[in-house]
Parts: sequence; C-alpha cells; structure tokens
Amino acid sequence: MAKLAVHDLGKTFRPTGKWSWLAGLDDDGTDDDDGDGVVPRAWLKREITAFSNVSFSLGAGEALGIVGPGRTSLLRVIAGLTAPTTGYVTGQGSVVYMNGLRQAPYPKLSLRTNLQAVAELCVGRRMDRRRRDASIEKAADLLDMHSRLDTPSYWFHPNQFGSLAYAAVIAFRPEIMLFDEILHPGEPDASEWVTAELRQHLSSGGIVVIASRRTYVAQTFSPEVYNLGGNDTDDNDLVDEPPREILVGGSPAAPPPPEPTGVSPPRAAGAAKAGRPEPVDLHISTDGYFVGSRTPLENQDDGRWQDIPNFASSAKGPGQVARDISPDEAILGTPSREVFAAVHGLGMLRAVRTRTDSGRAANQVRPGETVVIDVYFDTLVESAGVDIVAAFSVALLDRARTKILTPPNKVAVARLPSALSCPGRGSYRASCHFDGQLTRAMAVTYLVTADVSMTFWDEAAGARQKPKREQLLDAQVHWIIRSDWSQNPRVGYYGAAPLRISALFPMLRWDIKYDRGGSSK
Amino acid sequence: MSTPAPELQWTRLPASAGIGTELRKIWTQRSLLPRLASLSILTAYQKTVLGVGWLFIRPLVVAVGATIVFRQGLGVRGAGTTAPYPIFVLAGFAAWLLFEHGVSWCTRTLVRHKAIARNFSTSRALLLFATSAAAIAQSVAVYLCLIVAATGWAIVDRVWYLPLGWQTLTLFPLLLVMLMAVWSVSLFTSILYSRVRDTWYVLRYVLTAWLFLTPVFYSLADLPPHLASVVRLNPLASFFAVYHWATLGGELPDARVAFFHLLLILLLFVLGLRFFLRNSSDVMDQG
Repeated sequence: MAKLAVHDLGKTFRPTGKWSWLAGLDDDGTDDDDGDGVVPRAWLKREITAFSNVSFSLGAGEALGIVGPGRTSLLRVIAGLTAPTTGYVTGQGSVVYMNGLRQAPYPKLSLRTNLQAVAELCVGRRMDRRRRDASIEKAADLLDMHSRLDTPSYWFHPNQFGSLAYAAVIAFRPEIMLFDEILHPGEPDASEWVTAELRQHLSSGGIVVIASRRTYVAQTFSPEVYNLGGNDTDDNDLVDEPPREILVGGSPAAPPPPEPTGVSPPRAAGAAKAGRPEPVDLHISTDGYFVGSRTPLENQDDGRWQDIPNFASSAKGPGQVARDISPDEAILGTPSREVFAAVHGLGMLRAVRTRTDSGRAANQVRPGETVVIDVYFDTLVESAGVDIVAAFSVALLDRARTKILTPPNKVAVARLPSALSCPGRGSYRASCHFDGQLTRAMAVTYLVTADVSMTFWDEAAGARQKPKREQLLDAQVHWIIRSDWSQNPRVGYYGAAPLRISALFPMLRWDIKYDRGGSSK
Repeated sequence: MSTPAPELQWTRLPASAGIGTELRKIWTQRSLLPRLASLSILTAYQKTVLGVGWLFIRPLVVAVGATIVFRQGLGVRGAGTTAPYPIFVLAGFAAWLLFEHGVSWCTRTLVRHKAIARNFSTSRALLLFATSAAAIAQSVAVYLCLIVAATGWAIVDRVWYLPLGWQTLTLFPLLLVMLMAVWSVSLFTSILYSRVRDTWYVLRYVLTAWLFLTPVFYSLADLPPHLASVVRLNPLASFFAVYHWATLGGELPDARVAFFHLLLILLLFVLGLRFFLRNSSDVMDQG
C-alpha cells in the first residue's frame, strides 16, 4: 500500500553566484536598475528558503492539501525532482508530479508517442504495452480525440494534451499523485472523470496531495491542510464562495451560481426598435464554464448583424454546461489564422464567472453595483498567435483592478469595480496592480475581462452603443506602446498588433445587459 | 480498471545522490532506456528535409574530402593496413562520429530534454546516456557505408578489406569504451551548457581540433616520431589504433598505452558523474 512520510524537511535554494560570471549577469546593485531585464548578480547570491521543518505522514487512502509559500518546491522534493536541504522523505509506491504532464515534452512528435513516453516516465519503468496503449485509447475516447492520436502534438492546445495525459496516467493509478494548483488541465469533459477516478484511487489505497494557493482547492479530497506558513494564500481575496465546481467538477456544499435570466422587456423593446436582432445573453453556464459568445456579432462596417455558426452551435444554450471550443471548430467557422490564435487564447480559460457584488447574475446588475468577473485559466501560452492576444489585453490593465496570482498555470482573478455604472469608455478606468509578474497567460485574462465592458449606454444618443471597433482597438494598442510598454523594451514588437487584433475582436466580445428602471444601459 | 503498479520503496535525502545511489536508480529504471533512446533518435533529425539521409551524407562527404586532401594532397597512406584510403577513413570516421556526435547530443541533453529532466523523476544521468543513441545510430550508418564501400572494392580488387576474426569481437568493448569517453566529457559539458550556452560554441572548436589530433584520417605510423608521441597523449589515439586493427586488420598496437588511457577515461567518467549529480538538480531548479 502507498505510504508517504515527510520528516523535518527543508529546502533552501543555493546561491548561484559562483556561476554568475559565466552567465553575463549585471554586476551592479541588487535590483534591475538599468531596466535591461538582466538579473543582477547580487540578486542570485541571495539564499532563498522555500520551506523548513515540514513533517507529516500519509497512509493508504489519505489525501492532504498544502497551502502556503514553498508548496511547489515541497511537491518537487517529494517527487524526487530536486533534493531537500534538510530532512528526508520516505515513501512507498510510484510518485507522479502531475504538473509535468501538462505539456507534450516533444511537440513535434505525435500525441501517441508523447503519451506513451510520459506514461512510462511517470511510472518510472517500461510498461506492458497492451495496458499502456489501452489507457491511452481510453483517455482518447474520453475526450473524443481517438482519431487524432497520430497527429503532431504541437497541433493541439496544451489543455488537450494535458487532459489526455492526465487521463492516461491516472488510469495507471500510480500510488502517489501530486497536484500543483489544479486537478485537471482544463478539458471540462475530463473533469468529472478525473475527479471520480481520484476518489476511487483514494478508496483503493492511493495517496493524493494537492498544493494550492487556495485552501478550498487544497481541501478538495480532505479537510486536512498543511500550512507551510506565511500569507501566501488568496482566500481572503475572494468575494464569492469558492468555485469548487470549476476546479474539480462540483461540490455538494457549494451553492449553485444564479441562473442567468433572459432579456429584460425594456431592453428587448429598444433592440426591436433599432431593427436588430436581440443579442443573446452572456453564456455563463451553471457550473461556471464559459465557452464563447453566442451573442450575434455586429458588423461595424455595414451595420448588419452576423453570427458565426460554429460558435453559436458550440454552446448548449443559456444556463447550460458548455464546453471548450476546439481550434478545429474555430477554423471551420472562420478562415483566418488570427481567429485560430484567439481561440487558443480562449482555450486557456478554465472558466469565467460574472456576478454582481450583491450576488446577482451579471446580466441583472443594477446601477451602483459592481460587476465582479472571475476568470480562471491554467495554461501557459506559447504560440505566437496568443502573443497578439496578450498584447491587446495589456491595454486593459488601466481599467481593471486586478489581482494576479503566481504565474504561470495558476488561477487569476480579475475584477472591474463599477465598470458598468460608468457611461463611457474612458471612465472604466480603475487602478490596477500586480502581485506577480506579467506573463502572456495573465494578459489573456484581461482581454476577456475587459471585453465585458465593451458595451455602454450612450446618454446623448439615448441608446446602447458599442465603441467603433477599429477606433477602440487602435487607440488601445497605441496607448500600450506609448505608455506602459514603452517602459519595457522587451515587448516593443507588439506594435504590429492592431490589425490582427481587430480580427480577433468579434470573437471575444461579450455583452452584459442590465436593467435600470425601464431602460437598459 | 488497470491493476496497481508494483510497490516501490524510496527515500529522498538532503544531499545530491551519490554515485552508488544513482547507479542503483539507473538500474531500476533501465527498462526506460529503449524509450529514451528512441525519443533521442526521433528528435535528432526532426525538421530536416533529408531526415536520416544526413546519417549517410556526412560520412560520404568527409570520406571523399579526406581522400582528396590527405591522400592526394598530403600523401597520407593509412599505414599499417592494406585497405584503400577511403575505407581506412570511413572505418576511422565511424568511431569518430560516435564520439563527436555523442558529445554533441549528450552535451545538450538537459536543454533538449528539459521537459523530461525537470518534471519527471527519471534519472538524468540515464537520460544523458540514452541520448547517445543518436550517435550510435550515426556510427552504425557509417559502418553501413563502410560495408558498401568494402563490397565495391571487393568486386574490383577481389580482396575483402574488412577481415572477420577474433579481433572483430573487440569492436564491442571498444564501442563501450568510446561511449564511456563520450559520457566522461558530456557529463561535464552538459552542466556547463545548461549554465552557459557558449559552451556549445567552444566545444565545436575543441572537437574539430580533437579530430585532427586523433588518428582518424591518418595512422600513427604515418606521422614523424616526434608528432606521433604528441598525438599519443590524446586518450583516444590508442583506442583508434586498436580500433583500426580490429576493423581493418594489421599489426596489434601497444595495448599498455590503451589500458592506461582506459583508466584515465574511467576516472574522468567517475569524476564527471559526480560533477553531474552535484549540479544537475541545481540546473533544473533554476530553469
């Protein structure tokens, strides 16, 4: 049976100063004063204690959550990926650090080859071929990717590979599974299966350890939580109840989010007057998954409305559980590579949830209330196309007060306080700050977040308006170049983004409608 | 549902793994070697138009070039054997490419296979050893060229220049020694390359210089005595002499020097493994 015991464990990262003369590091100071992005040598000489004096033991069928700073290092020590500085760990059974499965190690090789490799590497020995292939086939069937197993891995979003790899490896039941922050890489179809398998794994004597910034995630399978100390948790920042259903496929204790309601009568009347089809509500599914916009897209050039069939059909309807849009689907509906990139960006999202601060659904927001948008993503962005998405999103930093957790592969929460109570684009601005460093993946969060506020009420026109797409995007991107990004020379190349972004934009727009005493805004 | 994997007891200790511990780990995970080796070969020639064709192109080009430069230009004969010079060159080049490609691939192991080295508890030393499979494939390809060339000459001259005998059996231990030499060097250079990419550029010059200091295009008997004594300092020189004897026949070279060089390579291997084990974890921790 599986066992895991951690005895007085500590990990201190050794200074690398002795190598710094070889690495071309800056000589002066302890900070990057000259702004060239090169880490100063003195910084690397600092000794960093990840954690210390950690002791616990787990027996067969037990789960443990770990919160606090140093949790990832702790998991890596347990997995044998790095050596502890003090103490020791003993265990029985094969250990898998599940985060290692989230990207294909050899993108040029086929999905099948990569899956075979990671399965065997996880278990640490060559496996029975039939058993190995059976689990891969089972994972592929689960995600309806059976026919694509021989396609090069780079063709797929990391979420897809990650989900396949998780499913394949979990099917092998390595005795000890270590999860860092997330329990499945993002394919909703797989989440319930993964959760059920892990519960079965525990009941059959396995061990599950979950390290997370958030206590409620760490408590997914057990109330037992080991706190490594410090305040490196984000529980206090959540105004909503923990979205457990997003992360592990549902919790009986968590109340269901409010159902989105239909279009309010005054608004429908206004839309009918304008001779346009009424936009469909934002699709926030009951379990928190957001897929894409079913909102008919307005063609700004001729004023007509158009829809994109594949996007429309990819959601199951308001209030229903939706699923991710695959890159293939996006390509079918839209010819451009830019849209492909955009959907890659969307594919990184685990889920998006909008609420008012009084707990109503976002499409029922009232004047004076704040709409809170939680965006969850869990994938590191790699493709060049997503760079473009990220560039656009950065334009939105000045109006989103944003809390970003440790990147990458972590949860991000973005909020727009009182955004919808302001009648113009300029007044959406709010202060923003970061707790982590900016990465592309984070930036995509802003993209999605900010699009929520694209529709506003124009008092002068007495109608609901959207900013002209091209103007808005150009202005934002120029703003990026002139202000924020000009201070960071490493992102200067984003200046080429506007045209491409304008192609992405329709795919990413959301409409949030709300009622204000008989009119809409 | 699948059956649980066999249980495995393990301990993670503070210090970097000792050589004994690592060798035990390698032995435990030895069944992964074919998988890692196949990945190493599969990724070696990806994104090339000619693919595995490069396995054959380079030795043939070198054999032709060396014949023109060394045989026609400098009058080198490949003394000590009766084989035609192109066969002599191909024979030597098969062993040299094993060394050169082995060092090249293995040096870049931790970078090329970073996703595995960083996220899986597979022995990183095992990963490095497996990476030399691409070099073995290269060496086998040169051997195929050698056999084809020898067959051609056999048709023309009615002489088979690759004698098969008991000395042929020594090729296998020689192959192992050559791999030990590859690993001895790359256990150091793989860490250095992970830290500093300049290692690769320096290594290319070093390997080029090393090629000319190794009796690949010439035999020790072709050199003046004072030059031959300098070349003999090269640990690979004595093995190439033995190797030429094992492949092409002729007079058995002095085995005492080869034995001394074997000890030197073993010592380097042990020191290299120690250096690798002490530093590979840090390299991976720092991304």
